Amino acid sequence: MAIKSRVHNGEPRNVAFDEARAAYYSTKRDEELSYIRSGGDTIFAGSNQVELFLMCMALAKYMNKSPKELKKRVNNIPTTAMREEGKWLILALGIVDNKTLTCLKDEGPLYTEAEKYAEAGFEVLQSLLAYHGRGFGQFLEITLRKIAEGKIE
Amino acid sequence: MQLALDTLKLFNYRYYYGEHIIHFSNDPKKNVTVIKGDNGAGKSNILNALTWCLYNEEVHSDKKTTSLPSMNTEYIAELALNNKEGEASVTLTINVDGEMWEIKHTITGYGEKDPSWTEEEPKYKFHESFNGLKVTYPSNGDLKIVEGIVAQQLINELLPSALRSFFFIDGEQLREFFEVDASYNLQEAIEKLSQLELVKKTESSLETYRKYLRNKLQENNPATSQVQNEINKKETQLRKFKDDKERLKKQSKDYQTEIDLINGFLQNYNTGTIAHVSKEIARLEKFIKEAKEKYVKELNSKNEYLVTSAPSILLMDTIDDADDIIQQLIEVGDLPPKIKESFIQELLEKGTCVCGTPLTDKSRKTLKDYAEKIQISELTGIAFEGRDKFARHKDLIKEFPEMIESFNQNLEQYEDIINKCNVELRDNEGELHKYNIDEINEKLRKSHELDQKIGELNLKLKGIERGIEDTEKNLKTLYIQENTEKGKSKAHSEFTDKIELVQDTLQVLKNVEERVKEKIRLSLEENTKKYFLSFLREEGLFRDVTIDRDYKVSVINNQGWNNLDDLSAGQYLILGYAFVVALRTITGYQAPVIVDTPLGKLDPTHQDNITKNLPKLLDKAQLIFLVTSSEYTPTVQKNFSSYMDESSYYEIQKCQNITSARLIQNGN
Repeated sequence: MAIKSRVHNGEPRNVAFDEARAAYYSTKRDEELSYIRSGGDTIFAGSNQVELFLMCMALAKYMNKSPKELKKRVNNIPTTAMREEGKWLILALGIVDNKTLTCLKDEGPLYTEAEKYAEAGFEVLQSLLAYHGRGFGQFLEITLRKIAEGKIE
Repeated sequence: MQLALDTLKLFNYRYYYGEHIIHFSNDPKKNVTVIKGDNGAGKSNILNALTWCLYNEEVHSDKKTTSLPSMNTEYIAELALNNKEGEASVTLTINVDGEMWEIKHTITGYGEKDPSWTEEEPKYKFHESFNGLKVTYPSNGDLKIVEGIVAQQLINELLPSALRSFFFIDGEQLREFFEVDASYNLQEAIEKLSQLELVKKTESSLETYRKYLRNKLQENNPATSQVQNEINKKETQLRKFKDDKERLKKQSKDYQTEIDLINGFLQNYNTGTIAHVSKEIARLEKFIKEAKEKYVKELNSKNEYLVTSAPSILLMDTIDDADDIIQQLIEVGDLPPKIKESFIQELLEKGTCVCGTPLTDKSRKTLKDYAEKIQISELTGIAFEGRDKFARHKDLIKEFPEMIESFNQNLEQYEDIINKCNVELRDNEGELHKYNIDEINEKLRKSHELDQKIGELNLKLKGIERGIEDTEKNLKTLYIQENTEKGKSKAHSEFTDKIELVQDTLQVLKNVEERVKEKIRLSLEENTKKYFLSFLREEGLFRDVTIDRDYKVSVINNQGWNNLDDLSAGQYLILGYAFVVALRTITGYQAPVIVDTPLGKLDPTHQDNITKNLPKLLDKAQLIFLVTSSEYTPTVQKNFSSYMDESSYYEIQKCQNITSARLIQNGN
């Protein structure tokens, strides 16, 4: 059993995505655009919003994209739905970007920055899905395998 | 409740031209009735008559007769030639706790010469004009008559439709029952036997009351109304999901039944090769279906793993860098153990050390520097937690190639099986097509179409199950939010307390429901195992019978493998009997058991064992066996003799014309 996390400082209640992405983040089964709806045809089908958010954020950082401002925030992903491991990916980004630990005294700005990364990463994901279509899963698998095996610098 | 059949009256029903009555013994000590007839004489018509009368369904799918109308064909010819309307019916009288009920299913209609009618080959068509059910039963000293749906509901309360597979048994169809329908039927039977209707009704009323309370609270407390609106929406969505799930499951079962009928038709077709090839096709289709399901399940697991692992792997360098930053702080001593700021301030204010020595300027400076570091020291705990999480991410990254390899290997394995079976399937279908029989081709096409539909339904079902899971998760979060909001509003505590009480009660009821069902499942499992192993004479062949949480039945052999699909026909029959006895043992449910071809697939040793023990284990319950001459051996007759009286033996005499039969009591 995982040890209960110590209280994070200034952790926000929700994480946001841009309003323009709302349809893609939708959990409604009849939302055709949704990447995560059950029964959809992306590898995210049945995943939750947190997973899509973290994927976008990680993609942006991996592809060296600059964080992008959100035009209109939709505060829809409760932080309670995020596992500690996921939160620490956001915090790791903050620690590295700020090159200090003091940023952990108030996590709010780190989450805001993560939202901007996720916004930039969303565009990357969108273009990858458009390019690879149903083959995106295979592309992701190969890429991740190469990274994990140290074959990509 | 105690149920016993009294009489069964067949009137122009299928093989039985005119009126035929079977009287069943109501003596609990003489609980066996035997109806003997050759193959094709009309034994199965008796089992059909019972289920047709009670449920408007005919369980024994005798493929040669399914295309025939329920009305006797000789009688239809007579009607056509005399240009008049006639009636066919099955009337069942049942003794229900000492009171007589009469159930009558009637059809009326008229016959007509088929356009292809000739003197040499006369052919007729039947046009049904009425099809109805009537139940007459005693009520407050009078006889009450109900018809149609009300009558059907009454019968369902008496002999629940969900249980009929366990009491109206076709010995030849048991393999299909356990392979295809068992889990669905078991689930239904357990639902029914758990007698949880009252709990369900209470749940439904409480849910309505909770809705009412929420609406009241919303009127008075707009702050919570947003959350509650969301809850109402989600609850409606959840109900819809659950209804859809039930509907799809039923539809899928109906399609499967249709496929089984087609497979049965093909298997029973007139040539041995066609029967063999059809059986092989059915086996391969089932195998492919299972392999496809496993493939999809594995693929979903792999995708889920990819999606959850991807962020860690893509951020591998970031995780390393963040971990290095913490490590460096530890190494230079900038991340000391957590120190209380108040403790340092106290030392500085007092001007003395804990040992009483006055603070020097140097020690004052050190303490002041330390106070500055406190900011970071407060983060020590959280930083160490971070390192722990980073270590987990690193482990995940390390394991990734191996995990993906394992997923791929499993997927390849399923793909191989599917491809291999598809090749075999095509070969077998090619073999069948050689016969160029239009009807076979049409049936095969229909079977494929239905199979595809089942696949689509299963996909939809999976989506709905995910939807149910997600909605339940969302609702859980919303309930927490609702409680938080309600906590803020003391003025409406009366409503909030009531809502909480209703919610708690609903939770308790759900737990009760689960526990009762689980208890029945475990008890059914234990008893089925006990009777199955005791009925089997070959000791040590099997070691267990299990019914898992999805109500899937497994028969475990002595090497630990599930042998259900490879049981012999006789072993299926024994498993069926074990179920019936187990159901009876755990519920005390007293209903007659009617078995068509009860011993045909058993060797003499097992015939002896079953006929000796079944009447004893199901004492007081009527046992009606529809047997062939070869089943009714002297040993079986001897074993049954003490459970039968003179009037409980019937013989079916096949008339010269193949579509007519006569029932003769006690062979006279």
